[in-house]
Amino acid sequence: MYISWKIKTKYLIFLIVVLFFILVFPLKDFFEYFFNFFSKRLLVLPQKTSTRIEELKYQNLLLSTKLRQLEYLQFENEKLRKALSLKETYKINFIGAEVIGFDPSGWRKRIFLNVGSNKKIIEGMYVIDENGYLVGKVDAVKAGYCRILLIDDIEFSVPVFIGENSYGLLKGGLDGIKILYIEKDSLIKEADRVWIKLASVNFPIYIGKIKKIVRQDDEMFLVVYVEPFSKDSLLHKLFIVQ
Amino acid sequence: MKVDIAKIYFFLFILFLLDIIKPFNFYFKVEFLFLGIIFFSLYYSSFSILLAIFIFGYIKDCFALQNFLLNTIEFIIVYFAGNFLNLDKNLQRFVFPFLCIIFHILVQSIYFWSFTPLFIFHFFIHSMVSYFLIEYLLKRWMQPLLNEYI
Repeated sequence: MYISWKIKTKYLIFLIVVLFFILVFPLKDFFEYFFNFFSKRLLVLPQKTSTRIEELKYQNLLLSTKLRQLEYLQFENEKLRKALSLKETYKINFIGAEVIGFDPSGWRKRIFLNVGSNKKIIEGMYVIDENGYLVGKVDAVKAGYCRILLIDDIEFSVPVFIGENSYGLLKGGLDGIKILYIEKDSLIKEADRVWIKLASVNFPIYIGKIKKIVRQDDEMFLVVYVEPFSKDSLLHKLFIVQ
Repeated sequence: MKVDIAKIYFFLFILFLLDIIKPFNFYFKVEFLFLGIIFFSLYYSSFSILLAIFIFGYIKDCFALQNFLLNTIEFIIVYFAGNFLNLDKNLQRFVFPFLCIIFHILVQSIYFWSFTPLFIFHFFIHSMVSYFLIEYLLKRWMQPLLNEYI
């Protein structure tokens, strides 16, 4: 088969370009920033129209979390049967952020927010919605934006409490959120709340409630499905817990 | 055949932005960029198209955590498959996107080691419907350039 020199040269140039891009793969940060720059301009609402609404949402979140903190403290007092006097006050600090993009892969549930290391965001911080329910956690941080792993992403996992007595490992997935390593004799039931407690805040952060419990005879652990509270939260503002 | 490269790059860019913005959130399980790649692989054959496909595959891989050019390699395979598949034109129009979507589902499921029948079914149906919609719109937009093929 005769191949002209023109075509050979073209494919040789293509091969060189491929090798170049493979060797200088650190360009990925540039492309990520470039496309977030575009989607930021398309998605973020004009500040004039939403400033007051955002302030009210933030205040509402602070008040509702403070209320939950007080309820939890009261519960602790009754449960442990001794007064719990707080020797240090917990300063609750949230950073508001807006969703500027999503991971282009259909298999991943990751989003980009418009705050980054410039607002002292670090990896591992948790993200909640305006009602105080867990949405995900910070996965990667750059100067002007950060990437969040949502709770139903295949790589998301966090140790959680269930109701009052049990705990397990919450794991995201394409077929729903599950809790692993719950023993068969555990006293959990449907509609039990699933929550986490962070060192930086003195109240529980709820994730969802138990939707279904599957008991399999040949398995050591139960399969527990969770229904998250934070539905459609990506259309609203999110808050990162510092 | 003269190819309007600027139009192709622009359209692939729009499709990629759609994947990033996700106007339907996670309810609509489609990768628009991949569907565009299927369309251009089926109806075009030139080095410029191959380069465009490589560039957009590379950009998509930039968003992935792992340093492996999975999408770049996959898109290039789809391009060569579209150019060398030798079926009746009318049959190819339905069979090729079907095979490409199945191939994509297999590759991504194996790579992420996540096999979820319900999600795969939704992804397949949404992608097939979206592909034919994109094909219909693109054919009208690029009609003069496709006259040789259709």
